[in-house]
Amino acid sequence: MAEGKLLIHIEDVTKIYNPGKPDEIRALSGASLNIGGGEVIVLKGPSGSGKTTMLSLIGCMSRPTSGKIVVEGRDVAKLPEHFLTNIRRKTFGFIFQQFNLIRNVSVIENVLLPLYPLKTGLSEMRERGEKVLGDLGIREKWHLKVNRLSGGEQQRVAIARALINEPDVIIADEPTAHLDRQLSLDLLKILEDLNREGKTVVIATHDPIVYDHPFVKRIVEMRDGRIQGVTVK
Amino acid sequence: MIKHRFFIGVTLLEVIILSIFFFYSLASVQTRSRDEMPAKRQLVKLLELTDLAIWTEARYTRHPSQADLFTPFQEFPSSLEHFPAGSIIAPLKSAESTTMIFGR
Amino acid sequence: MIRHLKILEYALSSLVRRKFKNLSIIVVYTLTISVLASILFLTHSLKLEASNILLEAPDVIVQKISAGRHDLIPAEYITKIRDIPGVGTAKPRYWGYYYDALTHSNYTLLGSDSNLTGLSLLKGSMPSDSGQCAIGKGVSDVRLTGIGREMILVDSKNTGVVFTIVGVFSSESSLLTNDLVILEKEDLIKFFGLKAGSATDIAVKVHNENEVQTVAGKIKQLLPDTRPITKSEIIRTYDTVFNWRSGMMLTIFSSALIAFCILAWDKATGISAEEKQEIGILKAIGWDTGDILVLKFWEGIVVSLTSFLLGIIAAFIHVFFLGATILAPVIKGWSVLFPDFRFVPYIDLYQIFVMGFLTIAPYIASTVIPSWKASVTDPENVMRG
Repeated sequence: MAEGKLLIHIEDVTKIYNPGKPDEIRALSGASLNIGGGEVIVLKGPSGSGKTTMLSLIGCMSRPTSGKIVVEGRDVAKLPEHFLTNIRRKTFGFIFQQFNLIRNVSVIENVLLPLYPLKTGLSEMRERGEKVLGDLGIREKWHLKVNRLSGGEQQRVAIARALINEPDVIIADEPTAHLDRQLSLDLLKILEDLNREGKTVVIATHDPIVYDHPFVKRIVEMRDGRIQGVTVK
Repeated sequence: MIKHRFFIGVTLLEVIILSIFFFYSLASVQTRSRDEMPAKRQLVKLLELTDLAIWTEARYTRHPSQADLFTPFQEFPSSLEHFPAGSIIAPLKSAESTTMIFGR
Repeated sequence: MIRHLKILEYALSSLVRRKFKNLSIIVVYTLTISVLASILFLTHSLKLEASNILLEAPDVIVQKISAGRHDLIPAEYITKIRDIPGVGTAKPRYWGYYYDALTHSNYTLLGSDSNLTGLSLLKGSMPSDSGQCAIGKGVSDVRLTGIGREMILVDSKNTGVVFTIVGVFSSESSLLTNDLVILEKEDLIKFFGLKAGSATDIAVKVHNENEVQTVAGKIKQLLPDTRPITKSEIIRTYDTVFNWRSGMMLTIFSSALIAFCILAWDKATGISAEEKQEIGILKAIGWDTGDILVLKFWEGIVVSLTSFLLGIIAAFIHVFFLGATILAPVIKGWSVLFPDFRFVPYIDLYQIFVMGFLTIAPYIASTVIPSWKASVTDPENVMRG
């Protein structure tokens, strides 16, 4: 697969939690990585290896302790929160391990959540929500409360929410952790389709179903906060 | 997606009800002070009344303005109030010119 | 604007999720406001009514004080007072209290001149002859009697005296006349067994309104064992009777305030793990700290504004349409005769705004501030569950 232009550039990044305190954790040390547009990349490693930290840095959810992260030509380590939020809104869609849906709120409202603070009009929001839900095959469930859906359906709601902003990059953290084999394959199919549409996909996982899947092109192996090696398929 | 319209509608309705109450009260104060006030004042004037007949249980609650300065405290300024009405009315304040002031 | 409307929309969805919790908050909140507002409406109305009506009260009332207590005043004081420059008239007043063992109620007995006519709030007439009386609505109700019937009162010699009721004051005047029994002056003196040449107190009329204080001061100087009470003191009494510092207000206000503090403290310290998680989710999917604060602001507004408006409406209906039926027993205390209130709806907008500010602002603060702390953290925490 031909890689597009450089999208995210990570250079010698270190992340330390609670620095200077007794519970100091060095989650990432000296990691460097380049991610191009349209790529499918898997961060693989046991738990505690720094995958989630890496994802949160890539997705502008936190800032590195030291090092440089350039997203779309801007060094996000130095930007104030407001700009970070802006980049996150426009560039990234997140799929979380525990789905992270808001309980007791309807499917459509969960999907539209990212749009509430934006200027999009209510009717346009509604249209976009219905389209995304339609694409994922759960349109008829739009009015149900999310906690009344099955695990697979909840995963789809979470994906729909990640897609509502039409992001360039999909970031997924252990997306198959709570799914059985069939649902995991369905999810990978969806991600594969999204990648075919041109979206970059970054997945953190230790599930062989994911990293052995043919659409994954690059596997970054992590251990103890360091990048051990990169496999290109 | 219409919850906010519902809320705004309900709030507006409440505000309208309150405005109606407000104008009602303005009008009602006007008519009642025109219709009832002169007769009540006449009563006060002719019978030389000094107080409202709200609480009848004790001298200082029936005639708060006429009670001597000791009664409301049962002769002791921090004694517990006996009558519930006593907790509503404040102790009488006397004007300086009508109170004995001791010179230095 | 559209952003606020949308965030309001989500705030409502979010509130609906915890229906019972939020509904009970609104109910309790509304109740608190309506109790507070009822007291404010009621006291404000009584206060204004009193200061309007009592404008016609005597300029100065002179009491004799003996051993710190109100005593009968000797008639010769009247002539001494009349001689003070500026004094128009000085007339003795005869009145006293009567405990009616039959109904366990207290009446105020008032002696009047026999030539009073033309009282528009009196059905029938004033007593014009010995053995007649006019009574207040409360007395006639509690004795189940009316014009033309007879009323027996027990005098100071413990003998029953029969009076014929010739007039009953109408209920519109019961704020002034509810417990009155008006007797002819001589009847009253005889009934109470007042010493000859003494009166209950003296009502003084002063020519020039601006000189009332001076005259009162002179009376005090001339007759040191008296206590002159000026009209402005009388009116001021009712001004302070129902003020913010008076007992019940203080009690209710402080309990309401404490309830509020508990609520605020509970919210401030007890922002639940679930709420924190939600704030994290919102941040993760692209809300920034400001958006979350706006959300919490709207949540606070919806609850507090709704409760406030409903509370005020309820208080208005309660006090001015229903005559404060729920609050009346509290105000009534142990009074047996209690007037039927027909409160004049005096409204003080300033009072309402102050109350609105004092109840809405703390609630919003207690909703927004704790979430603010939770929302400034990095959203990545949400990824770690």
